Amino acid sequence: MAAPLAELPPPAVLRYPFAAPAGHYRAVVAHGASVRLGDVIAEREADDGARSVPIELLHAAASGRIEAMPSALMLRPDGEQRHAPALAAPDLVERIRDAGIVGLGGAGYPTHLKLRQAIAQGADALIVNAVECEAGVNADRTLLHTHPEDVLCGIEALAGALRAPQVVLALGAPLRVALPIETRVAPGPYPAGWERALTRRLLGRAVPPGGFPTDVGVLVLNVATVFAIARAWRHGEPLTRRVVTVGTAEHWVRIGHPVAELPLPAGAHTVGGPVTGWPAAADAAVRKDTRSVTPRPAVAESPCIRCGWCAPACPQGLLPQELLRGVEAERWEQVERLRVDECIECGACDLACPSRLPLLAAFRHAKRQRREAAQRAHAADLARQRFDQRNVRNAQRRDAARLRRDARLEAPRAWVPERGAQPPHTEAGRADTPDEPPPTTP
Amino acid sequence: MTSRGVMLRVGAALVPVAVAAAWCFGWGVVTNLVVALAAGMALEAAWLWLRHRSLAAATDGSAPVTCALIALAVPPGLPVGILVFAVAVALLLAKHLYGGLGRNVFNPAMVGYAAALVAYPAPFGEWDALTGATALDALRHREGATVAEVWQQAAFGAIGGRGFEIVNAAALLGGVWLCAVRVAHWRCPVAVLASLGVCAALGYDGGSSASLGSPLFHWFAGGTMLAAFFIATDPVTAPATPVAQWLFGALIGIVIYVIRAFGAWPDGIAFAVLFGNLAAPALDRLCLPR
Repeated sequence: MAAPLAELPPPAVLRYPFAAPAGHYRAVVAHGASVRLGDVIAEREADDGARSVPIELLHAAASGRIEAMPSALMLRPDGEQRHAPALAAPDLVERIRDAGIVGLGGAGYPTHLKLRQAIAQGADALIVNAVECEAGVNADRTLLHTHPEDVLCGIEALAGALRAPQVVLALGAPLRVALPIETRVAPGPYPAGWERALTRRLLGRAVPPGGFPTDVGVLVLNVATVFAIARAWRHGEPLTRRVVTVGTAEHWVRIGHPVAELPLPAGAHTVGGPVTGWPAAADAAVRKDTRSVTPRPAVAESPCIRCGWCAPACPQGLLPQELLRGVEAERWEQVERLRVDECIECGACDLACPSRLPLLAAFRHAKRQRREAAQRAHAADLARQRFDQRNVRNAQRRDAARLRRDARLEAPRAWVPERGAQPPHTEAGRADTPDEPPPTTP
Repeated sequence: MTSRGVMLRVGAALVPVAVAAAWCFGWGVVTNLVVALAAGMALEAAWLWLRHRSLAAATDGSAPVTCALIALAVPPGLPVGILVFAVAVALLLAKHLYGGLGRNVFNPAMVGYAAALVAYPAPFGEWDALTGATALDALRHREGATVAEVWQQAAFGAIGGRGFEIVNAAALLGGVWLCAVRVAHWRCPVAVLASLGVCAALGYDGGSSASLGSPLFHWFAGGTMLAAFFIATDPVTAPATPVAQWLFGALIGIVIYVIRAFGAWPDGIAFAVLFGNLAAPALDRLCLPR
């Protein structure tokens, strides 16, 4: 077993932005509240708002005081060691949900949903993914070397939930430690750690396009996720810290640690993998899906010479050079025809490009544009439907009102007045009044 | 590898071609190269300066490659004015007016070459004082002689044009290396040579007075290898999809042969490549996966 990993000291303030990759966090603690390490401070809700149950819980990574800001929750650690009670749910899926565990390889998808799906679909194979997605990120590998017994415990728990599946530990390179489970080194070029590629190469099961490995009975979990499951299952700990590659070294880092306060040289930083990551905003913080934070090197771009090296590099068989032209010209139909939506954002094209062009960034931009356009179109459709329905309602009301008015107007003519008799329509007319529709504005 | 690395490798692969050409055709090749490169770099820098662009773009290596290709394609010792004209058309008209490197539709070197050929045909007819007309010209203007009889002329060597066969062999060498280091697509040159060879074989009846030269002769005459390995492989103006690359190369080979056999120009390389460039976007569209 390797030397234990160092944990970074807590920063002056931990930061939890409300904006999440999918959906958003909603605070469940008030401004000024005092929380313990492991207390739930926020819940993530699904993007569509259709779910009434929060899909992910967020826990305080230190005991301290909450400061609610417009865009984020801030937690100012008080230096005390107050812990929330250990998680106690007897069911593994519930325990994982209570621990707030999501895919730590970078996907950030709630693990309890994935596991529930796998159980429902009768998955009979578990791949524990320790293939680093990118060169320069060693978080998974480091975890496996320093905490093999925890990973094994997590695998045991998952194997129990899945009823004795085939378990494979997928590695990017042979391990220095011996583990009592089947290990396989994932063959093939980058992105070898992509779960669809792993499922096909290690188990020979092809995942249908648009589907997930669970569709072919395989549950793929990142090794860090398995570790978090072990901590939650064995020790009742929620997910409040993770192994992050900071520059060139791995550390335990609290979720919420501001990127600006990590031990890195000043300058621009990339969050989440040197290739597939995003430029760090000034107020960015370590999230659950943050594998690495690295300095962003300045690159000198040159024009695309259409060398075409990106095309064979693309694991999805797309034509990045043609896509880039379409994105630059904002020809969205062409971009759609070139299947931009099938891009898995691995950045293999960026690595192959001799002109150092930010292809991945361009495709992400294109996908965002298309998503937003689709949302706008959907919203416009809904508005049109509402407008049409309103017009129909108004027409019905007008018709009904006209019928009543006509009936009222015709009633006196039909009535032959007799001296001393009360006209019968008066009361009826008054009785009608409350039923009159509100005047419709043109 | 960077884009500049790509251009550097193309330049390196051109070195044996330049040495062979200078060996066979004399100092005129060297003056061509010096004039074209100097004029090209000056024009490139002047253009960037006038457009208030960073001069760093002039170091991407694309301009020297274009200039060197022109210098090697035109007759040795071409008058300086005509050479500078060709270079100016190539860099300014064919490249920068289209938006610069990577956005040009036509191969700049071939546009420059074709413009000079059309504007000043006389110097291109006489290859040089040493050999007079080229082997391709001699074969065309032979007045009923058989291939074997024409072959007695000074323009011919062992298998192709005298001198040209050596230059073509050097270009083949450099080109194969370019493909081996993956700088050039291998499909385009193979398609060019294959289709030119098939056309030549169809038009070759063993050497009668109506025969138009064997495939071997066509491969090693004129600028065949230069066109196949250094110009048809220009990724900017070639199609991106593999099937389209096959079609593109085949088209160029056919047009080269048609111009050589039936046209009036000394060689068909430039027009064949420009024709291919014209068809490239359509070929790509045809072959794009749907």
